[in-house]
Amino acid sequence: MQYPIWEVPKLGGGMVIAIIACVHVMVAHFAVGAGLFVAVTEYKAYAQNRPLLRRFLKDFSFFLVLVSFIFGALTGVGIWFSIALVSPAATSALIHQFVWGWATEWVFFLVEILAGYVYYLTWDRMDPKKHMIVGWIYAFSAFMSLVIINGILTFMLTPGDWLETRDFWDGFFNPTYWPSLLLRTLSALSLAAIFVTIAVHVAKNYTRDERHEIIQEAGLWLVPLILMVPVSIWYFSQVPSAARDLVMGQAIAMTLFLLFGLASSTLVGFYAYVGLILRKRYINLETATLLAMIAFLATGSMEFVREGIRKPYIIYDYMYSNSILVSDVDRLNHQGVLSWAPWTAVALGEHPDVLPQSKRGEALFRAQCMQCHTLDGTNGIIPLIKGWPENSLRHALENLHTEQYYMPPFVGPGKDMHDLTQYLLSLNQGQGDAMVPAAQSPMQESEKEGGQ
Amino acid sequence: MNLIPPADVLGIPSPPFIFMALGWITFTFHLIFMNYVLGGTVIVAFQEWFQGRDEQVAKSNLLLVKIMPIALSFAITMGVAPLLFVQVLFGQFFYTANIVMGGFWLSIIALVMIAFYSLYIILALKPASAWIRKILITINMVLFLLVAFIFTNNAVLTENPQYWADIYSGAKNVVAPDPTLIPRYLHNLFGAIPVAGLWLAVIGRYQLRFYPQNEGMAKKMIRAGLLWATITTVIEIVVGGIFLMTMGSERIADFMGNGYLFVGWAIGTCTGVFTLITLILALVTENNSKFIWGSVVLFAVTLVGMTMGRDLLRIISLQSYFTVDQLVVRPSTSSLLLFLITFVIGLGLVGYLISLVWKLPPKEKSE
Repeated sequence: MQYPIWEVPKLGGGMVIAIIACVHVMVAHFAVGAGLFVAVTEYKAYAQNRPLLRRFLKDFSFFLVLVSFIFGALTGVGIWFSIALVSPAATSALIHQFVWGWATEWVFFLVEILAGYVYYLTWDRMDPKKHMIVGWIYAFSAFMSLVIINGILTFMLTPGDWLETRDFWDGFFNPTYWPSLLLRTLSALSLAAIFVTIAVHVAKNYTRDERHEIIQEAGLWLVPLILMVPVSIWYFSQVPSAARDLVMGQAIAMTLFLLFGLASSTLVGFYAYVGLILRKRYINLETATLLAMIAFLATGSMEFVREGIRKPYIIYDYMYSNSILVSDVDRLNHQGVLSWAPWTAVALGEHPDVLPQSKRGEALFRAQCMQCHTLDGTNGIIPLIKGWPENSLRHALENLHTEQYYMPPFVGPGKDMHDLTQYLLSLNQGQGDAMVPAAQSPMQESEKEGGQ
Repeated sequence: MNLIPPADVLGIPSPPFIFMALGWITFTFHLIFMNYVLGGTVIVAFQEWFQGRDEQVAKSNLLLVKIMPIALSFAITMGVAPLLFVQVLFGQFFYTANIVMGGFWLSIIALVMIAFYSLYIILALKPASAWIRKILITINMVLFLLVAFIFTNNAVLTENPQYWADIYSGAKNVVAPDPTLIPRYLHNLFGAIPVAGLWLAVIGRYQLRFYPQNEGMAKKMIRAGLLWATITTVIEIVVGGIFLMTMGSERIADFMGNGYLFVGWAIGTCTGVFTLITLILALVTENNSKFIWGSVVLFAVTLVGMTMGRDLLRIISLQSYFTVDQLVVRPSTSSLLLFLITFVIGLGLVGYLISLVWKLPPKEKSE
């Protein structure tokens, strides 16, 4: 890419994003759901004269500040920092296209933080009706931040008419906008409920009966999870057909993760309906924590699928996952990517204008592959191509995008492909005895051909 | 070969000036809260170590730490907006500087998170745990000083692409080898302490007005705050001069007299110097409320001016590589309207929330 690669040995930049994103997505959804939960529940506390609910909300709001305002806010900035380190070109595209969307989300975030602190700090000091209004302002602004960010997130998978018009609204209200908003809302409500069942155990001075009553309240918020399957069907009906094919069996990992995410969400929904609402069961801290872990895995799985099916693009039909613009492919096929990606030479301690032949292959690897592949860590190239002979490597590079549907095409003239093949082959040769016989023969053939 | 990535082909949806102006406003608010946290931890740590036995000082330290997590939340929130706008206008420089710094840049998140939670730990400590409190607040101070250094280093690298290659290839370490780095860092630090000092004085005034039972503590807070503000403003003026000198004759020549940004900076510099007068007057008079508020207003103007000066420095440092008028403007009026309408509604809600808090009766037992 045109920017330097941020190297994270073994782990890879993508994994850094994934780690931060998984926890952030969960906490951010919790914050949205919790906003609605506190607003509705405080209203119920007054309307039905249930002081217990009010007492719990007071304790819960401290939990909300600790988890959402610190961990949520900072991991949110962390995602932003990390995507800019790993995929600066894509981050730049999202920022430039949607800057007023981001700025709008920021306004809601600012109001959310202020309302949240006022809500938390003014229990028993503010007139109850006004306090409820503060709760609703908090809930509204938290939900609106989801409404805005959802447009930008879904844009990456389904830019829709934006590809033609470059219009803000075409990109924002894209084909998956509404089903995704509904999916995320369902997720937010359920995560809030699950955190409530944990918080009620962590908070002090509640009897078992009091805890039970609050758990019953939370249980209601889990039931909408039953809608996960129909809404997911709606969502996947809107994604590009190639992306749909990936979850429908073409990439078995995607299929499994999707099934796991859907099944666990739906099961938690049924558990809430049957266990908490019909049979009025109690949940202890261990079960509540288990539910939270299942929710974490389900959220992580769904995010993995959402990210995974976007491949080989980072912004569908606009930018490949290695930051090459689709519109640049023809030009770069002709001129090669090394002049387009001068930082690859710098990383190798060379001047971009006089890159020695011996380092061209490695530079090409950095330019086109390293945004997703490490050498021998996460998604490591060495284990992936272990034992491949030159013919196989060459064939794979020639047909990357057609045979490995989640890979972008190799971009560049034949000489570049040859240099990259040789580099990959050299990686193979460095991998012990097992692959020497397989790699040696074609290498020697190639050298002979080169010599002729 | 040019290592600087090209500006984004998608261009920008509104003229650059709008982003710059919003940047001044939001960054100023960021400074107001960030300075409370950065300068505040320096002051509290100092007071803990050297005046911790004084009960009134210990009480005021606790009060200051109590406000800190909220101030930190707002420092982060208000920092997000200018960070967004700098990416819009100078993204290719900012992103590359981030990558060159790599893990150090990302470590900001972890450092701030540790500091954040440790503030809550300090608040949860029993009064007898004086040593733990001292150590934790000192750790907090070190963390914030480190974060400030990383941000300063990033700003210097963003404006000086000539250092990127050496750092990225490992020939040089991640600290920008630039003569302005240390003076600039000290300028940021000694700019933060006076603002925190004024916060102390204002909080002291508030205590004096609404909680007369805290008179002893409040008076000490006001005096300590004004002293910190006065002394560090003097240091700040000297450090600022050194920072200016290290920019080099060419950049100084470009900086001086350069359009409205320079005028803003110059006004800010003058009000900063005038603040010394109001601060000293506040220190030597008994009924000093008007001088404290006068200093607040002057400092607010100074912060806006410094923010404009910061923009000017970035512009002149990068002008041989890039100017913002090279960005393609593809107007998107409707999305700008979305923001402006939300902004007005948001300001209304913020005003409403503040008015609700303002009208609250004082806490009965409060400090």
